[in-house]
Amino acid sequence: MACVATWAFGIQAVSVASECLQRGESCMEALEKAVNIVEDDPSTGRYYVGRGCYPNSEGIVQLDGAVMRGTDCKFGAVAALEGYSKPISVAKRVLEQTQVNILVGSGATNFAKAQGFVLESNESLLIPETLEAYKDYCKQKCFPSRTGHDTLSVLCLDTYGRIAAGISTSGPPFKMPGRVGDSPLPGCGLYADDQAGAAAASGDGEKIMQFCPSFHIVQLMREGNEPQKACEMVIKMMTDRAQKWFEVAVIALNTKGQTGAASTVREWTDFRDKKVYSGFPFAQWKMGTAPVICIQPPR
Amino acid sequence: MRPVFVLLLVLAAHCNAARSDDKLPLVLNTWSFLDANIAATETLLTGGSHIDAIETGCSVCEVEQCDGSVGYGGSPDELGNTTLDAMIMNGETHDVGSVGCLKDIRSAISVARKVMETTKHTLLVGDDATNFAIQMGFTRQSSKTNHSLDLWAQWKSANCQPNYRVPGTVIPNPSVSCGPYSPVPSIASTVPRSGSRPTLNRYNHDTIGMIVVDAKGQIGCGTTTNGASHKIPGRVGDSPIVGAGCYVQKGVGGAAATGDGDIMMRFLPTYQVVQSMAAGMSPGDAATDALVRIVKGCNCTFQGALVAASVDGTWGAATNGFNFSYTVYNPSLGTSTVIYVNNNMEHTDRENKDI
Repeated sequence: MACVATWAFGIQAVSVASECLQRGESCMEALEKAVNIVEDDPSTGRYYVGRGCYPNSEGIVQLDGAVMRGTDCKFGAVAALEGYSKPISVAKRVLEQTQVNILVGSGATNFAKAQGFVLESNESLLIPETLEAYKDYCKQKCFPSRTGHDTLSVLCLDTYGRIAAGISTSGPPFKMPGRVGDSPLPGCGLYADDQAGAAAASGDGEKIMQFCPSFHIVQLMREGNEPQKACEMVIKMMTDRAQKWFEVAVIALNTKGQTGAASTVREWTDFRDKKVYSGFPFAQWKMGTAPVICIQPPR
Repeated sequence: MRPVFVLLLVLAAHCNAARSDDKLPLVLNTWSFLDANIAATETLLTGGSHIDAIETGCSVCEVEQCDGSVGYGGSPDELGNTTLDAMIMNGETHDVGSVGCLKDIRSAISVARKVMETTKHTLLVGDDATNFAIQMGFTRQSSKTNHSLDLWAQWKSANCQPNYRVPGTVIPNPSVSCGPYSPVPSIASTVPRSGSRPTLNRYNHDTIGMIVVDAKGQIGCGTTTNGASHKIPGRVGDSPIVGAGCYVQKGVGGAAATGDGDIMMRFLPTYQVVQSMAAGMSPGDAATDALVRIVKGCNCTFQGALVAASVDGTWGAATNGFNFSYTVYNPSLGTSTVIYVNNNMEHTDRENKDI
C-alpha cells in the first residue's frame, strides 16, 4: 500500500489516504476521501484547489477534477464545473455511471445536480482573500504575487494491488472562462494502469498538455523502468523539446509501492507557513512509515 | 473538377521507393472526405501554410456536414443539442488550440485556431467557448437543424436507445428507458462499467482528422466532429484532446484518430503512434501497434482507426472493428485519392501511386 501527492499541502491528502488504505478501503475510495479533504478546505484554495480558490476572469469559480482507475483504465472527469467544491466526486460518478469520459461546463454542472450533489452559490466558494484578489485584478489586471501553478494530484495503491490516480484544480487565477488545462485530461494530468503504475503532473498546464507526460511515465514503467527513472526521463524529454523553461512537476507510483518524483521547480514557498522548499515538495506514505513531505531538487 | 481515383485494397500491399520530391507536400485525412482533401491541397499549392491547409480542409467538412458526423445538424445529444469538438496542432511551434462542447458556432476548427493564436490557453469549453467565438467575430447560429431534431425525436420514441448510461447504476433503467436519470444509492467504485456501447459506423460517430506535411516538412494536424450521437450533454470526446484526437511532433510525424473516442482516448493513441515513429517504426506499423495496445488494454471490442504520416511523406493507416477509408494527396499521386482498408487490422505504408 502507498500514496503520493503533489506539493507540501498534499500531506493532508496523503494522511487521510493512509488511514483509509490501512482500513482496507479501495484505492478509489481512499483517493476520493483524500482529495475531498483538500478540495473542501478553504485554507487550501489558494493552492488552486477547490473551495477558497481564485475565480476566473469573470469572477466565477470553475473547477476541474478527474480520476482514473487502474483496474480497467476507465476514466472520469469534469471540467469547468460550477457551484460545487469537490469536482473529483463528480468525476468519479462520470466514471462509474456513464460510458463517457469527460463532461464539461453546464453539462457537468447539470450532471452533478442530477447526482444529488448540493450546489452552492459562487460567493460561498470564494473566501475574502480571493474575492479581494479578484477585485484587485479587475482594477489593475494584476495577478496574485505568489508564483507557481499548483493543483492537487494523488496516486493511491491499495492492499489488493490496485492503483488509481486523481486530480483536482481550479486552474490559474483569473483564467479565461471555459479554460481547461491539462489536469482533467487522460495522459496529461493523470494516468493509471494496474499493469504498470500511475503518474500525475502539476504545473504550467498549457505546456504540460503538449507532452502527455503522465501517459509517457506509465509507458516507461510498463517497459520496466522504476518510477523515479521514468519521472526523470519524461522531465528531460519535455525540457529538451520545449527549449524554454516552464514549470512542471510529476509524481509516479508503481504496483510494488515504489514512488518517484521529478520537476523543473527551483523553489516553492508555502504561503500558509512561509516555508521555502528548494525544489519540488511532495508528500508520500508507504506502509510501515508515517506520511512525510519530501523534496525533489530541480533538474 | 479534379479527377479522383478510388482504389479498393483487400490485402496490405508493398510499397515502392519514390523520389523524395514526389512525396511532399502530403495531405492525409480520415474517411473518403475528398472535398476536404482537395481544399487543403489547393490551399497548400497556392501558397497557404500547413495550418491554413488544415483549417481550410477541415472547414469544408464542417460546411458539408460530412457523413452527418462533422459540423452542425448532426449527432444530437440527450437533450437534442448538437455540440462540436475540434483541435488544431502546429508541429513547428508545438502549440495547440482546442474547443470542446462548442454550441451554436459552426466553424469549430477556426475557433480552435483562434484559441491557439490569440490566447495563452489551449482548450476552451461549453458556453464560454461560444462567447469567446462571438468575441472573435464568429456568428451565433443554431447547431440544430430539422434533420438533427428528427434524429432526436426518433431516438426518444425508441426509449432513448442506445445511450451512454451504465445499467445498474442509475434509475430508471437506461437499457429500456429514457431519463432523466438519478443514481442508485451506494455504487461500489470497483463495479466495472458495463452495458453495450452503441455500434459505430462512419455515419454516426466520426471525425475528420487531417495531417498535413508541407513541402518543407512542416507538419500540423486537426480534427473536427459533432461527437457521438445521443451523448450525455457536456460530453467531450477524444477529438479535441492532445495525444488522443491528433498529435504531431516536429521532425518526426503525426497521427489522427477516428472511431469510438470514449475508449480510444484512454490510451492516447496518436501520441503513442508518434512516439513509436520516433523510435523507428513506420507509420503503418505504429498505427497498428497503437490499436493493438488499445485492444489489449481495454479488453473490449471497439471500433477505431488511425492515419499516420512521417515528416518525409510516408503514410500509413490501421483499423479495428470497422471497414475504414482515408484520403491522401501527394505530388506522386497527382490527385486526391481514396484508399480503403478492410477491417482486419490491416495497415498500409505508402509513398507513391504505384500501389
